[in-house]
Amino acid sequence: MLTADKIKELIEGINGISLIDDFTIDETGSLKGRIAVATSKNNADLEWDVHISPTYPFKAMGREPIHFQNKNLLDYPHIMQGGNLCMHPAEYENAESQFENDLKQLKEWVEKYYVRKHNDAHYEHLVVNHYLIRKRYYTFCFSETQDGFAEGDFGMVNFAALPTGRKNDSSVINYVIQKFVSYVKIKKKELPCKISKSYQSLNSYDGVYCLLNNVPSIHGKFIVEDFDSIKGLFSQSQKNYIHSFVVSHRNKCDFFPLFCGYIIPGGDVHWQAMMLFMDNLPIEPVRVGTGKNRFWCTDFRQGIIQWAETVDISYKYFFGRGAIPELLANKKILIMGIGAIGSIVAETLTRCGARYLTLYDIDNKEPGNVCRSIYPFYTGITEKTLDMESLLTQISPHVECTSLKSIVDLMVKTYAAEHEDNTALAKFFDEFDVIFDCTTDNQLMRLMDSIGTKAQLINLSITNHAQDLICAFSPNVTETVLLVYNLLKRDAETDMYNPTGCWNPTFKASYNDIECKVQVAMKHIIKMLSKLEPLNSFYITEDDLNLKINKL
Amino acid sequence: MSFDKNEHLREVLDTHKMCHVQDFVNKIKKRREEVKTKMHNHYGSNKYSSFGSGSFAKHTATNVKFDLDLVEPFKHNAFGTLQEMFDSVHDFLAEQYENTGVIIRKQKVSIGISFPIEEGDEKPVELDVVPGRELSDDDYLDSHDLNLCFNEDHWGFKKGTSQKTNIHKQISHIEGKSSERQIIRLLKIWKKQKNKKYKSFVIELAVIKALNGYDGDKGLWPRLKYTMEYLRDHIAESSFHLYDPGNTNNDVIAAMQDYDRQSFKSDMENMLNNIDSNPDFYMPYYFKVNEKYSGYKEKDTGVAYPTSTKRFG
Repeated sequence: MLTADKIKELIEGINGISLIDDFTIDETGSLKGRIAVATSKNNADLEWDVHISPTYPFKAMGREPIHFQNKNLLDYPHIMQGGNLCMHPAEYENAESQFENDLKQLKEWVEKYYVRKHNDAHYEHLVVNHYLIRKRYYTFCFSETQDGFAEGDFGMVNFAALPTGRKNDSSVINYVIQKFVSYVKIKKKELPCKISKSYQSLNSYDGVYCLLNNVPSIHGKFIVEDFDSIKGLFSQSQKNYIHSFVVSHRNKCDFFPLFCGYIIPGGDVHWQAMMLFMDNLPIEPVRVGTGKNRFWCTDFRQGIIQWAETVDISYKYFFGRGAIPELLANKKILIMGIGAIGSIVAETLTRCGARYLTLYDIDNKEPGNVCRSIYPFYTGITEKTLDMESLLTQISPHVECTSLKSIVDLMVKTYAAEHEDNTALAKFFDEFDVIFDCTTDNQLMRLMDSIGTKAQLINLSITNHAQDLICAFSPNVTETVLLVYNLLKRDAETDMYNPTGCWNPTFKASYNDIECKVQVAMKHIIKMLSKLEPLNSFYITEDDLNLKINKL
Repeated sequence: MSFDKNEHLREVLDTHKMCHVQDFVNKIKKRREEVKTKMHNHYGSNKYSSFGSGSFAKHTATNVKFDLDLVEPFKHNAFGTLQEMFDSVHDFLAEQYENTGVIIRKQKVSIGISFPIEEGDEKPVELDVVPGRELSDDDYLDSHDLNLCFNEDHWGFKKGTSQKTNIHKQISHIEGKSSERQIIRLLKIWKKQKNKKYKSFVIELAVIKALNGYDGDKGLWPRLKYTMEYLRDHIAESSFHLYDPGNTNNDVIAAMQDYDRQSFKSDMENMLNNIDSNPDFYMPYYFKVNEKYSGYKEKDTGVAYPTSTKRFG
């Protein structure tokens, strides 16, 4: 544990740092003192108030246990609103080493940013403090639009409600922006956000947007907090539009968001949202001009802005931490059979950024399916395709997910029964680039071989207990599947699961048994379809410790 | 008794011989003569004698995939540009076969002719006519060099450009190499069955290069294995080249994407490993007998699928 004496002793041993005010313990148990860091300029040393929490050196509740504060340095990088240096120090084994290294990091900041005036290339969004607004938090997700915004753009915003969340014992009211409707040049020019049709079709609420003429910042990094500081960034047309919106919506809503956009490095528009309540609007009529030229216009009153939280969910940010290659993400993918394997494939592709998924299955989901697929129990008995569409849409706002009617099975097989040449069916399947057949329907497998679709066909199945996974690529899927099953010679007649009261035995395997093999298979399938790995059919076997991939 | 790889490969080759489809080949030849006569009558002294090329001419054809091409060598002064030559041949054939149900289409370096399918045939008679122009006046009879017109490539970048080649040299490069041709046919059978996109010309040149100087066991499997090992070890190397015998400045492997070369290597590696570990299963998987012409096979009684209690998803 650090003591005031120990701190004094440690500071004396560090070159370039001196103690100004001795450290004392306050009523919360924190140590407080004042130090100076020498600069290599002729200027005076930089003085810092130091606050060390009782948990030091442990970081508790995500907060650093030491703060260095200088309120005169707000214009410098990494200095937060209260004048605190934002630092994420490495962790050391005891308080003394930690303190020495924290001071070393402080010295490095002074040298790099104060003395050498370094500017980071990496752009950081404005710091916005998200306070409770009338006892609630508000959040808005937005994404890039198909078309760009005009200079000084303004108009209406359509946004939809997402389920209410909760944090810090308060409600979080979540919304997603669907589109912007510009009124600046051509009336009602729509600028839809790039999100799926599912989100576009949700019930809409109205708000206002204005593209500001500059970034609403203080010290280049904090958002402005009062209307006086931001009103100069709006054009008069924009302010007047806000008033006209209020007039037309006064009896329709209690509040509305005003989205303030500005261009960030790279050219994207970033949006901040202030919450305006009809019973306490921050706008007022202002009389300008003289004589015959006197007229009324709108301006902001004095007051504090209530900023909501905004998040850019554009594809590049939503999948910024990891996704499949763009080439594959843009392909049209059909998943036939969304049971254990198919549902995992569908979820994996969605979480990895696939944009166009079509689902097909003839079954309903029932409670017994939940233990080894991704279906939730909560949605009860329903068609698998409907449940999966809903689930995938919830996961990603960027996946356009549709389903084929189950009657496709009848249609395709009736045609095949009546015709020797099935190539006419190819036209139907040629709509897709990739088709996963996870049905284990042997007749369909053979049929798909004979159709000769241009789509890349991938047949996935497992043996009992998910001992092995077989992945066969077209052409000649049937031949490959037969080869591998004959090679493996798994005894499948015993140890099946016979549900009580049901005549249909099924295989035994847990979600974990199946999922681990499907994910390994998907890793290779994704690389193969992206031309990062030679494309070959394969099967995965398992011994006590390893999964083995056998390529054909 | 252990699986006899040589015997199996022999059967693969036998059941893929062109003699099994002789009637169909005769139909193509008859059509080729028809086209040849039309071309001769139309272009007369503007061209030299046409001749056959393609896998049939090289004796590397199999009855599941074969080409009977017709090369038309034009005199240098017959056309202002190669594109004019190409378009002229296309337009002439399109006019000749107008309203007959024959489909004429422009391809990469040739004009494809597809005759209507006849009753009893599995596929239509198809011919490729390859127009080429001698490099300079009166050069062809000595050199047999021709410039082909690149009508298009995948991106259309090469449209109107030329590619020098010498089809006579290409054919003579493979002449007398019956041992190599067997291996070429086996790999082409594999390529066709597995729908691999590698160019046949690359396979031809690679096999000839691999077996150059080979003096090992003369059995089909040892020769095929040696070739596959050679390709596995070399095809993806940057120092590996395959020069077109018709134009030694044209390295045909250079046009192959790195991914395709890696895939080729991987295919060879997987096949060798799997055949080595279990030839009974894998040899017939990679190199299938053409059951249609397998005279002594028992009648197929249908395929035994893994039952619904074996295959899950």
